[in-house]
Amino acid sequence: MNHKLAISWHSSSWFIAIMLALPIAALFYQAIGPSADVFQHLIDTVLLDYVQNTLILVFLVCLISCIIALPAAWLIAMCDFPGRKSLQWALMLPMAMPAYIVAYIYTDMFDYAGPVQIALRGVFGWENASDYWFFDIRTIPGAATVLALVLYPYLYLLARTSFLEQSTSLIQASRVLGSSPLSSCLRVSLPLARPAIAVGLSLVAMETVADFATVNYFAVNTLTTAVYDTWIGYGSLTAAAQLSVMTLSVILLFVGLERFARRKQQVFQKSMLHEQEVRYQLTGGAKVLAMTWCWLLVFAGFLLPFAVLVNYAWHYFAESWTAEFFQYSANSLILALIVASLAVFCAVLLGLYRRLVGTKYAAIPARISTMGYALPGTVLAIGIIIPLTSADFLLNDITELLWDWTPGLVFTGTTFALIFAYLIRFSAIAVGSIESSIDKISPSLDMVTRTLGHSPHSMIRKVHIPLIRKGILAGFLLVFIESMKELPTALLLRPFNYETLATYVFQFASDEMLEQAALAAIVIVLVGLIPLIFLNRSLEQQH
Amino acid sequence: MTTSSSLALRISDLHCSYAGVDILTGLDLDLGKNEILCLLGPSGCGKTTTLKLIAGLLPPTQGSIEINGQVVDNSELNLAPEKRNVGMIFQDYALFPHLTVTDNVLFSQYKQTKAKQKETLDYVLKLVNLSEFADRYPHQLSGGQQQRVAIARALASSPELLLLDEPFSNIDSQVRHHLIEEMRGLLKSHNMSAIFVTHSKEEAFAFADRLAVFHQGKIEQLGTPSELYNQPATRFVADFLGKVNYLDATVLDDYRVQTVLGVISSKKALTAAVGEQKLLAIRPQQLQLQVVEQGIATISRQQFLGMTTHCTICLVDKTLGEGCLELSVSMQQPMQIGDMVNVTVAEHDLVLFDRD
Repeated sequence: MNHKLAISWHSSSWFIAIMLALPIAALFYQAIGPSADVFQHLIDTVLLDYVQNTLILVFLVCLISCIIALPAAWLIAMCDFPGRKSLQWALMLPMAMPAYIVAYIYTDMFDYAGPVQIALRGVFGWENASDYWFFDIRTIPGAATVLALVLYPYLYLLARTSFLEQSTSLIQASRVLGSSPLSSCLRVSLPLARPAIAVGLSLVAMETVADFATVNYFAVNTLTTAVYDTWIGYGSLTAAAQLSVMTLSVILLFVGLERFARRKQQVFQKSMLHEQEVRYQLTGGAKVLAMTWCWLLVFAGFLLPFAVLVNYAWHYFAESWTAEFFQYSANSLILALIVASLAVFCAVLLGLYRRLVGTKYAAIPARISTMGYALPGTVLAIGIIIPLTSADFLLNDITELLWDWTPGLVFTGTTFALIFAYLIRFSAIAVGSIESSIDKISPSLDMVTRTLGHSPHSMIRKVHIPLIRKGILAGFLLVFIESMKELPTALLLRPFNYETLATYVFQFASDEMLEQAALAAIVIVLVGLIPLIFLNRSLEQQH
Repeated sequence: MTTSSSLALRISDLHCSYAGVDILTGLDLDLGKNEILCLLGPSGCGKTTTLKLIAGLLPPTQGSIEINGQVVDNSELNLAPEKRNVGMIFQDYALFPHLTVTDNVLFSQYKQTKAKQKETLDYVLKLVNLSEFADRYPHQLSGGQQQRVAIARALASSPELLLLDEPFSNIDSQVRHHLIEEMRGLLKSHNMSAIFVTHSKEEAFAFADRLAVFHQGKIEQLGTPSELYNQPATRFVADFLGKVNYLDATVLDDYRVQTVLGVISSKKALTAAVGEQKLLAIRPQQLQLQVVEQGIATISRQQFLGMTTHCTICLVDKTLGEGCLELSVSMQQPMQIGDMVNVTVAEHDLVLFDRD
């Protein structure tokens, strides 16, 4: 539809998009520059190891996720056994657990000085470490296992949905054509779910590449930790930018893979009538095995770590219940509120711009603004530092020239950098949520509103905004939650002496004193549970 | 009663309930070898459930099923679907979208040698005229071709019994009759026993040797298509199979009844007692209107429907009965509103039902 829009609307939409894309452009620009041999030094020494570690880690996390998530997804979608309904959502709980907290708790448990090895030594009478073999959790396989324990829900969720959406008659046809339930799963269900599995694995891989805290805690050097170390350790922005671009290209590989898989999915998942659901009734050993498998995942990925946190909080309540805890909670809360409000504002602006202009080009600002979501926190932080440092220098130069006075690091030295970074990283969530609710408004509503004599602005106020209220709320909440949880960006960009809940917890975990920050950790986990409630509700409505 | 070994299928006292709702309540059914039986009924009457029970895709709550003399379901046994050697053709064809036509057709043959697979593939694809489409994927085929792949796939394992679930419902009506004839020919030439489910009476008439009309989880009547059409046992069967005119009738003697249209006589002796008040069911084909100078009624409204005409006629002689009648009739020539007509009933075996 053709609407005459104010120039300000066009310009502000494009301005937001360009601002949100700025760090990515800055990364590439900086990466071209000379890096004073730091990068050459990295290539000569550790870079190959970092790349290798990253790839091995991604491979192992994907492999372990497949092994644990696919059987669970199939069991929940296709079989009936006691507790299936609860497990359906309980299997998503580990998503709320920050991986580094799980890493900390399992390290504590399986270390030489941990309860498991102490108990084994007690039972078998071993004297010291040379008497027996025990796996070391602070290794790449250890990190991969911990990451897979909290990342598998992505794969579980997508695979389960795919299994459920497969036409019942396809499964029945395979049975009539001589396949047992297991062989029908291997020959029909799994191949049909391939695109969904590929999407799930791409997400798992992206999260793995982006992970900083867990690998840092386990002292496994990956590209992400290398970016951090190069900036904090060597102070070389250019080398950090070069590493960031490398990391980004790995990420883009997985993004491309995901897009490709999603396209393929449309051919595979021909929507067919969903008949009455007939599930395999599990009995005897199969029933026990299925229940054990699923509950084990929930236990290992959520219940046990959460119980340990609660236990810490109980025993170290005085140490946890401190002024800092409240101060940092308030910091996180205020930060998250500001970011969520700004993200929603931008998303509404961009979404309505696309709707009202309705041309192909009008969708571009919204697309550009969602690119930031794929950036790992550390990479994004480097991308932010580059333009903001220049901006700080420029500002100080100007004021010095004019008034012989410098305001200091206005952009990089304050929470401005943090807010800007969060906005780039999470505005995609708000845009997605609001765009999808805008798309649900029938175009004929626009036409009827205009024929009833309303201007575009009056239409937005009276029709669009009321109809997308739910999308706005959901977008706000999701951005708020992600901002509360975000760690690596905050670690690199927080002003001096400023802590968020996440950095506070991570600091204590790094110093082997998580017990004293247990309350803060519990708050982070609880906040992370909120989106799962939403997710579960929308899934219930689907089926 | 035939012995069960000469039957392709025997179902005895079959019950099935799902989520607390009784879908089948005591179904009995025999299918002869090389026979095509159609289960016809409105949606939700339990006919597809019956098919799935036979295939082993649903467990019965009670009763037994034998396929070719072998028990596959009873109180102790519920044989898995893959062990029953039945072929099934689904309403949406259920072709595996990730497999080519070849792999779809050979899905059940994976344990055979390559040579045997090739032989089977060539044979069944030729049978359904799809030899040149062997490497295509299902989404690259038309609806009719997809259906033929489904047939080829079901035939590849040479099943003892073929189950067809609304196989023609996704086919254009222009080619449907041609396909029905083709498939019937195929089944007959291979001496296959088949059970076929549909809600369309035209498909059922054209395809089936025998017809079972389903109603609320039970078979209402079983017989050849013409038996059921011409001699329906219940009003449900009469109505379901086509348009019926109901006239109040009083039995005059063994062969004749009195109605508002006059005395109507039957070819076959009536079973009702003299003087009984009954309801006479007459198909439109057996009712004819002729324009005459001095008729018994005038046409007050008509709606042309092709094969039949729906019309309202008003009786001239009010002593015969009251007012006007709505009838479905066949007309030899076009008529005008206000024309005076006579109604004649072709002599046939009259069908009488009890009045409500």
